[in-house]
Amino acid sequence: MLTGLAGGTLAGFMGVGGGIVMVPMLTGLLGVGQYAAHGTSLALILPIAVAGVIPYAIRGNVDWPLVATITAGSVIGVYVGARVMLRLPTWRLRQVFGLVMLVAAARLLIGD
Amino acid sequence: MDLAIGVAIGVVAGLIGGMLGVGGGITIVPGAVIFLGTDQTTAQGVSLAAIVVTSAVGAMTHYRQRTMRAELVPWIAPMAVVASVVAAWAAGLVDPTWLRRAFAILLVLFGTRMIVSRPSAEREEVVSTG
Repeated sequence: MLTGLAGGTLAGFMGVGGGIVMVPMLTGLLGVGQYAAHGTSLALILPIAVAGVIPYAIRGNVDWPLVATITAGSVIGVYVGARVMLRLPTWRLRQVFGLVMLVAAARLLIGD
Repeated sequence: MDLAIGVAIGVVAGLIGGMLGVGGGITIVPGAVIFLGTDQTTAQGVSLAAIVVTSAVGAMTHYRQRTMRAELVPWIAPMAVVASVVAAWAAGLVDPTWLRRAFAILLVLFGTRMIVSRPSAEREEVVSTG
């Protein structure tokens, strides 16, 4: 339940699915294997995103044409990504995961 | 050109999302803000909307290749949904700059932890959905 709380809060505040917090909690707190944590996280993100987008949509904060554009790319990407995941050892996945987060943080802090 | 950038953001976000079990928002939000000049709040709304479809496809793919603990979902999802509704409502009351800073700090913390930590039991199981 705590995982849900953390994931959902992060999602609503930050406009993301919450996976960044949930994957570590799944592996760290619930002892889920790395691959399964990634897959389970995506399943949890679906209802979070549905619930999360509604307030944004009501306030008019969604650029729907942009959503369509991005989704067109991401649907392909996510399928390929999930399949590719199995070819990578888990320690490598964790490195990539952490690196992605640091890069995103740096860009957010600097990109003003 | 904006169209191409949007699709590119989506592809990268999807790849990262499918591989790492995230919704892709960590790519979409900064990507849209930096490369498309979208404001932070709209970028977050766009990200959540895109993630709905992305995570559905991703979840199905993972489920079929048996990299999902589906039985955990009914336990965790309800709390997550409640939390996200409350937080999304609250986000509209906050200055976007602070959202970006808070987000960035969280990313640094968790990212560093991810790179440095080694899980004590490497359970690389592909879970049967029995």
